[in-house]
Amino acid sequence: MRQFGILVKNELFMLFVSPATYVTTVLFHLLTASFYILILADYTDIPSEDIPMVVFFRLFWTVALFVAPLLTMRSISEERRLGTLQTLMTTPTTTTQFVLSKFFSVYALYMLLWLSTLLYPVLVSIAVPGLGQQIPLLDPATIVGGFLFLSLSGLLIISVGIFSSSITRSVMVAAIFSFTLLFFIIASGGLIEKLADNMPGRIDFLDGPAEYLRMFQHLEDFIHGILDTRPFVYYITGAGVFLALSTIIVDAKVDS
Amino acid sequence: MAGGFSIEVSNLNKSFGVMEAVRDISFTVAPGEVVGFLGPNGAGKSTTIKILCGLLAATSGRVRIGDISVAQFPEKIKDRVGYMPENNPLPEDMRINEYLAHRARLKGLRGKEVEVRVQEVLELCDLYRTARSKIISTLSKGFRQRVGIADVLLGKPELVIMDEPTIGLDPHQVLLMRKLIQSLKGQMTFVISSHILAEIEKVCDRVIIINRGSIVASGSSRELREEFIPVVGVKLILEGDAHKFVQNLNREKDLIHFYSIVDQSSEGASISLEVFDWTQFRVWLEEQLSHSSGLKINEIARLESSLEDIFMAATKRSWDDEGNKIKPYLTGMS
Repeated sequence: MRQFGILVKNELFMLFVSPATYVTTVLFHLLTASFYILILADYTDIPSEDIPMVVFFRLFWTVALFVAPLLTMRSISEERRLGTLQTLMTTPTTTTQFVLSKFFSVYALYMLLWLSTLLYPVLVSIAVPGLGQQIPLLDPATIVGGFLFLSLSGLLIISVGIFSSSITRSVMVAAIFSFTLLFFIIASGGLIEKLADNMPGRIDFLDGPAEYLRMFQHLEDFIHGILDTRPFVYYITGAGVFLALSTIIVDAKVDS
Repeated sequence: MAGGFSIEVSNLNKSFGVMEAVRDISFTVAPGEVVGFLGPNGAGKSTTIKILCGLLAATSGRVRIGDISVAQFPEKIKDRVGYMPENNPLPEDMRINEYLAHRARLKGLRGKEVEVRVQEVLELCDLYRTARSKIISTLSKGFRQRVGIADVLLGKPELVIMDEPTIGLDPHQVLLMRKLIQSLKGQMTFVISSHILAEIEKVCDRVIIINRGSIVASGSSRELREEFIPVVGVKLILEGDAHKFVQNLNREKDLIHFYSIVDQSSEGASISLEVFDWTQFRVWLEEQLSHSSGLKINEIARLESSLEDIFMAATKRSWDDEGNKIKPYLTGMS
């Protein structure tokens, strides 16, 4: 546990001194702030039942697809490319501790970036006084539900990025692989649903598994206050599987 | 310590699929000894070193570091071994003191101990005043090597294994490195793998030469010289007509192993030789000169065999494609 703590502390320190983190942070805020402004603009034209933050949460997949690979791509592939993984393994550190430290540090940064978006409604209400009375900018229940979904889905999203980074020495390959894998994971629920619609009665057996994979449905449930155990099981076991696979790969690649 | 050894390797084998990288290797290293680990590229040095460090599992055989079995307790031996890999990989974005403090914590040092030990190794490796706050990516090769060495020494390991530690160092840094190892001699056991054979000879008590996965020679430079180089090199410059003298060289097969005429004219000759016995050769030479009027020695020098010669002889012996043609032992002869 002590080794894990030392590794996480160092990883966080390295993330905060790395220029790549700041570039990613700027890109994240450019993307999310643009979305938020466009959502508010749309809202003033055509008022909707959902508050702007709900619509904002529904765009989580764009951040997952673009920002998560940027945050995770260097984590293990860079250590393998430089050879520092081998040096690290000469200390009393296990590969599990190493992989988990990478995961938790990136996950912490990912969640910190999301939490910082809470400033958007606050800044808007300061910049445009009176807008808060016209549009409900903050709804605590929706925000808690939305952030619970983001924190839960983030476990799987970041673990996929870590896994992608573990399979290659190339940072670019890791990013592309992570993007592709995340695209299929996010879209899989919808794809199965579409497939079932086109082939009625032939792939009914996929209905059960598809329930687990519908990320957008999970988000809707969470922001409307419906807490089901299935998403918890799906995201936590999914993250566990990808992290276990990453550990196995790192174990096999320590000496290469 | 079991049997009083710092390292005990018995019948070690390592295969990668059908390729046998290490074949039935056995050797021991005593505590405090400085051992050179030599071999051509692909000989199995790095594989053996990685097994010693617990980074790679052996296919069969036994490896013990002190009284601990590496196969049974690979995590435990990491406290006892300091390993500097070839090319010395370091994180580019960290400062030297930050990196060493992080490594010290990983190696089990706590609180104030970290700061004290980091300062000690920085001073030991001549980094404290010059470069302690520099970012690693801005360092020259020599400084990077020193950071690697400082890292290895952080945890005060019983055994230090260094893969090519002097590569890229300038003569001043090599001297510093040699002094450092000599100052730690007796406190730690060193295994140094290197291609710079002259450096190994200066620093190491004993040399292990490995080729094609097997140990082909082991011992001190003197012992290896006796075993692998049964000749003495001679550089001879004669003045006068040496035609008859050269003809006589062919007849002395029991005394002269090999000779090569570097230059010959009616005014003299320059000859490189390998003789089995220096004293007998001097007697024979005096005899030859007394019978040849006008021929005299302009220069005669006895050439000592280097570790490079021993290395070449030991590794050549293990190659299967050696023919019966007489070849010189000393690299300077051919």
